[in-house]
This record gives sequence, C-alpha cells and structure tokens, in this order.
Amino acid sequence: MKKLLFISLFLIITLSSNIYSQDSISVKIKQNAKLKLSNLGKDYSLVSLDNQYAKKDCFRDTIKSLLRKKNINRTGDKEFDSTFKAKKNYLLPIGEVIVLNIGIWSISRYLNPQPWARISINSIKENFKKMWVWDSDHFETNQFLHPYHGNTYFNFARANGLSFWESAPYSLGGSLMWELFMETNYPSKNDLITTTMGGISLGEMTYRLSSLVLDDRKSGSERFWREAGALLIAPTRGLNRIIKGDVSRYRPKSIYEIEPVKSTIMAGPSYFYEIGGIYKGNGNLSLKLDLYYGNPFTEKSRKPYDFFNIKGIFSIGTQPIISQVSVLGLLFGKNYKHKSDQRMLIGMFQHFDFYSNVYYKIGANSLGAGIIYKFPAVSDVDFESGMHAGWIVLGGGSNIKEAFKYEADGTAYRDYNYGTGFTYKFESIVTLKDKGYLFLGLYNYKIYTIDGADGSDNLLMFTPRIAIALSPNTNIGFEYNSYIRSSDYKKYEDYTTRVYEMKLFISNSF
Amino acid sequence: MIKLRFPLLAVILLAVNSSLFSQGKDLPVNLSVIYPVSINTSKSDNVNFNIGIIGSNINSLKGFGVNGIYSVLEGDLNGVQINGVYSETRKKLKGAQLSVGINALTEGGRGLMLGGIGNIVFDDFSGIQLSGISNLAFESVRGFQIAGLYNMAGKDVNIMQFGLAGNVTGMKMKGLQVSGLFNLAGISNKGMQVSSINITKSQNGVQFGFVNACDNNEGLQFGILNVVGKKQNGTTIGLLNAFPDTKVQLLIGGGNFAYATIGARFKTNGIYTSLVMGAPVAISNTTKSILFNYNFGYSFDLKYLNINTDLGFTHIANESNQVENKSSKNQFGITIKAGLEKQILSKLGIFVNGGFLYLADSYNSPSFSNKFVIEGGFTLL
Repeated sequence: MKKLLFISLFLIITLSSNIYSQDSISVKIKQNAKLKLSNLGKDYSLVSLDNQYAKKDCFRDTIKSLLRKKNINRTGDKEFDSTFKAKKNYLLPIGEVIVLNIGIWSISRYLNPQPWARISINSIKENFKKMWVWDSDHFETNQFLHPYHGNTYFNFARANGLSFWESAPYSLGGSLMWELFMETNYPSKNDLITTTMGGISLGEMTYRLSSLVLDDRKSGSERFWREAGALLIAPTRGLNRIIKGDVSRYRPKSIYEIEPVKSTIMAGPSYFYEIGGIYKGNGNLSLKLDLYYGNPFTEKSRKPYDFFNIKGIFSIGTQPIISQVSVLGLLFGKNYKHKSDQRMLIGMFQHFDFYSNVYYKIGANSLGAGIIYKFPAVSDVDFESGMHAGWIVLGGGSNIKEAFKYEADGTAYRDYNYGTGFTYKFESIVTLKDKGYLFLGLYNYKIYTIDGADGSDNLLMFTPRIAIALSPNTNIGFEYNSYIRSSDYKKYEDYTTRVYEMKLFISNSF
Repeated sequence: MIKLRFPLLAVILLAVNSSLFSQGKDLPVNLSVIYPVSINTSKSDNVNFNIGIIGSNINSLKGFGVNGIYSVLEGDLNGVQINGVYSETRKKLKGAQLSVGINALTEGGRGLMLGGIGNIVFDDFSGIQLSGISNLAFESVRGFQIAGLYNMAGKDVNIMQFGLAGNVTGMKMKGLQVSGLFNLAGISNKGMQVSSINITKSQNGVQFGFVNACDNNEGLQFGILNVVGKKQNGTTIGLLNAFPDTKVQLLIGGGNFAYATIGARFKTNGIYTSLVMGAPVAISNTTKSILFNYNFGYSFDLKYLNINTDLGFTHIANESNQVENKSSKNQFGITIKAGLEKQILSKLGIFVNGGFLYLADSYNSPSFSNKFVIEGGFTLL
C-alpha cells in the first residue's frame, strides 16, 4: 500500500509542476488554432476558442459538465474525431514497466527498507532455480493490491495506443519481472495469476473510466481537474500523458471513445450479525457504488469492456474500508433477439471479485459465459436481468484458524486457501416507474483448495433489496444480505457460518 | 496402445464419413463426437436416435437424443433429449428437453423443459418449465414455471409460477403466483398472488402477503400493508391500508416507553392505523431492545385541533430476559391512549399522547403491570 501511495504522490507532484498554468495552455490553444486555421481552413472559429479559454472554469463546472455527459456516446458525437488513430508504441511501455518496477523496488529498498527488497545476482539466480510457490502475503495484498499493480502495467500499454489484447501481455510481463528479479522471495504462482488477470480487469476498467473524464477539447482549470481525475483513476496512464505531453495538448475534437454510463451511489447505515447473535452485531456506515458502463442492449459490435459493471462497497466502522470491489467485463459477445422487442446480450465475461469482511474473505479471478436481458417493456414496468457462470481460475477464500498456513519462521501466516472452482451470479431488477424497484442478487463462489486446507469452500450471497422512489433519481430503501459460508475440509471439521446484514440506504442515480 | 486405437479409428471414420455422405438426409441413428466429427454430414440432417459424446449439431430430432456436453438443433425437437451443460433448439419443441445446465428454445412449443440452472424460451410456451435457478420466457407461458430462485414471463401467464424468491409476469397473470419474496404481474392479476410482496396494476383476483399493492382493486387483498393507488372497488383486509383517499404520514418522536420512535400512520376519514418502531425501550433493563407498536384509532378532527384516541398492541424484543428464571426476552403489552395533534404547516404537525400500557413480562404465563406512558413528536407529510 505504501508503495502505491508513494507512486500516487510522485505523480501528483509531477503533474502539478508540469506546464500546467492556464496561460501556457491558452498559448498552446492559440498556436494550434492559428496553425489549424491557416492550414486547414475554418474547422472552428477563434471566437469560440476565445470563449473557451476566457471561461471562468472551476471544479464545480467540471463536475457539472461530467454529469451532463453521462449519457453521451462520443462515437456518435459530432465532436468525436472518428479518423483519429492512436500511434502504437510497443517499446515505450516496456521501458515504463521496467522503470516503475525499479522505482517501487527502490522505495522498498532505500526509503522504506523491506527485507524482501535486498535483491542480488544470487537472489535472482535462486528465483530462476526454484520452482514457483504459493506465497503467504496478506489477503488484501494478494487479492487486491497485486491486481492493482497489474493494472498499472496494463495502463502503460493502453496509454501507448495498444489495444486491450495487445496490452494484456504487459501485465504478465511486468509481473514476471517483479517475481523473478525484484524480490528475494521465491516467485509466486498466485501473484503471477492475480497480477495478470486482475491487472487486466482493473486496468481496462480504470482506462475506460479515465477516458470518461479526459477531454482534450477543454482548457484551463476544467482541463486541470480532468487530468488530475484521470491521473487518480489510472495513475500510469496519467504519467504517460505527462511524459508524452498529452496533458497539455489541445484537440478540437474528442479522441476518446466512451460508452454511456449509468451509476448509482447508495449510502446508509448497515448492521452485520451472525446467526443467533442479532444483539451482538456491529454497525457500519456503508457507501456503495454500482456503475454500468455501456448499454448492453444496443446492437453493435463490441470491443472488450465496451460493457462492464463495477460494484464497490466502502465501509466506515468495524468492516474493512474497502469491503468489496467486483468488476464484470464483457470480453466478446453479440446481441440476440428472436422478436423485435426482445433485448439480449450473450457473451464471454471476465470477473474480478474481492470481498473483505470480518466474517469472510473471497477473492476470485474468473472467466465465463453470461447473458444479460431485458424484457419487453410493459407499461411502466421495466425488467432487466443477468446470469453468469464462470470458471474461477484462481481464487482465495477464508480459512479456519486450525488450518492457517505459517511461514517457515512462523512470523507470517496465511488465513485463506488458494484454489480453483466455479462461480455463478444472478441479478434481476424490476423497476416500477416513479414508484421504486425490487432487486434480487444471488452470487455463489465454490473454490476447491489447491494450496491450504484440503477440501472446498463455498460462499453463497443472497441480496434482496427494495427501494421507494422519492424522485426520478433518488430512492430510499432497505437491503437484506445473507452470507452463507460452508467449508468441507478433509482433515478438519466442516465449518459453516451464516452472517446477515441489514442496510438502510438513500441512493442517487446519475 | 490398443485402448487408444478404437476411439482414434472411430474419430477418423467419422471424419472421413463427413465427405462421403450427401447433405440433408434422414438418419435413423447418429453418432457425434463433436460436430463435424459425426455421422451427420450436415446441420440439416434429421435424426431419430442421436448420441453426442461431446455434443452434436443436427437439424431436427424425432425420437431420442443424449449429449455429453452440448446440443444444437437447427430445427424442431419432437421427442426427448438429455444433455450435459447446454441445449439449444432453434425451432419448436414438442416433447422434453433436459439439461444439467441451460436449455434454450427459440420458437417456443409445448412439453417439458428441465434445466439444472435455467430454461430460456423466446416464444410462446405451453407445458412445464422446471429449473434449479431460473425460468425465463420472453413471451407467454401456459402451464407451470417452477424455479429455485425466480421465474419470468415477458407477457401472459396462465396456470402457475412458483419461485422461492420471486415471480414476474410482464402482462396478465391468470392463475397462481407463489414465492417467498415477491410476485409481480405487470398489467393484471386475475388469479392469486401469494408472497411477501405482491404487486400488480389491476387486481381482479386475490393478493395474499405482507405487502400487497395495486392501482385498481376489484378483488381481495389480505395482508399487513395493503396499498390501492387509484381505485378501490374490492375488499381489503389488513393492519395498514392505504386507499386513494388515505393520508399517509410519518410519525417521529419519543416518550417514556421508547426514547426514539419512527413509524407510519394511515388515516382515512378519521379512522387511522399506525405502526411504530421504537428503540431503545425505556422500560427494558437491557441496553439493546426494540419495540413495535400497532395502533387502531379514531381522530376527532376539530377546527383547530385533532383529538386522537386509540388502542394498541406492543411487542418488545430485549437482548436478555427481563425476569430472572423466566423466558422473558420477548414481551407484549396493550396500550390505550388519547392525545392532541395540531397541524402547524401543510405537511408538518405536532402531537402529544398519554395513556396506559398494560405490560406482560412474558408471552408464557404472563404477569401484567400497569404503566403510565407519554409520548410526543412530529407528523410529516
């Protein structure tokens, strides 16, 4: 975590010290404008440009304009430059990945010394000689921070014009370099898989989200906040933009293809308790983001992650701050309908799931098939649903204390198992116009242990939610979550726990 | 080595076979490893007895088929087919389609669809859909939809939907909807809905649940909370009823039996019912306690003031027993109260009530005590 904070701090300082004053960007805009006008004719007028940089933009205006754009697909926008093709650079991201890895290692070696960072030629030789191992890092480190690290590699490649599939090997390569060269610890199988798969998933998701924020047609403080926002969402993309000068480059048309976004933020108190212990539970303040990127029912050809969903739960109280991050992204698929009023998307999806809770932990990188469908609209009733089934390539699930896996020196232990398995997920929502909605979610993760306590772990989550509309975009409601974890171990007694969560919320959709 | 020879030979023969036979034939028997490594040389071949080791892709099946993992029928299924993970019939079904995973049927039909995970039909279907998780019919269903989680029919349902969690009928439901959490009939209910929450637009049948809601009621609603949005020509029996002319208000306050209370009141022509939740309970000797108070009363609406009179039932849940050696975690009581209420603004009023609570120390062989209660607060809306 400290490493990532260092990186973020460094990037922000670099960004703010860049040629980022309004004057300098205005000069560039004027220069560009003159050049364009003289060479290409009246693509746009100086009057409108003057208006642009004369505007008294501020952070509030930026947010307002972002909200206004929520349903705009710039591919169909007159201001979208459909002729633009990003120059592909395959080498620069390799260099950037190497520099990033060395930078993070340097921090861990010299600024915040860590024993694993004392690498040498011998440690590298040893890493090559030894077989790959399952490591015992903390659950959060292995299941969230490593994928996040993989996302930084991925975004270096994406920011250099490479496609989704072209960028994927950079997550793998960056992880390989780290595992083999940058640590004295033996290379870890789980790190390689989660950094690569999770990195691709988080990477493309953050790349798409940062594209929503970026707009090279803007200038002044609005442009600053947009660039800062993109840097925060996808730091290595932001860094790449600084290196290549894109942060201050003006373009008369947008070059970022974006899809419409529909998101909901829910906030409210929640109360967790175990079965039979309703009075011994714990309260939290819960904030949930549920964001859908892209319209799955628009008939069109799609690139990976042209449609995805993110679910994030952040808690204040007794639960971990980051309680859930789930990403479900379309890799490829097609729309299907038998009759004109039917809407359906069938495809292959990538899943990234991270649940961290005081009662259970589950992390999973999965691939699978899915269907999302919308029923024919019937007078004020809207019904959408989706079902997914996938193979958990590698997952981690809570263990029992007797089966914790300890490091040789006994200083560290792993409180979760590694394994493979399957997942299925069902979600459906019935919306009654101006009245509210009913939501039903069912999520199941079955993980067969590869490393840890022999056997299997299962987590079943059932989430009904009811909301009453206060206004077209604002709802109040109640959610009741049921979590049933059952473990079937060969050497230990079977273990089952049931946890329930009651949540009151107010939500806003935008 | 010998063991490997036979399957290898079979695969080669099947592959060679593909180039020898002409297309669009009627085959009494078909063996397929995975199409096109199969006896059928074309997807337009019709088959009577089909075996797909991994899977098969034929035109119509008239008879019996079994597939290890998948099956795709370009035409109709007349007969019975048993499959592993996925089965798709692109035209009509007349018979039974069974899969451990998912069954998909494009042009509808009649018969039995049994799917371990789910069944999807894109056109009208008659018969039985039975699945472990979910049944989806984009058009109408005449028959039974039974699922472990939920059932959906885009248009009409005749006869029955049974889902542990929920049922959705897009348009008209004539029959029975039974579920644990919710039933929805988009346009009308001309049968019976039984669930925690039942919703429809035109209610011409029976709604039985904790919460029943409709726009127009010409049937029977029976539940704890019943809502009729526009027109009430039927019968409604419940603890809390909201009709088109009912004033629904929020009650926020506190008193000497619960420090903070919140609830809702439904008032129609002076008669009102209210349900209030309060915590912590002042008369409880444990820190974690909660009460639910249901009241039924009449309000004398005077020119400047309202006088409320009501009878109520109170349930109190405590963290631990209130009386030693007696199962007294849960208590109940009867209240009788009267009070004054003043509307200050169009959507804001204040109230104060006083009365008596006859409190039982336990539900089992209760002993009663008499307590004076006073409460006050705001009405909103």
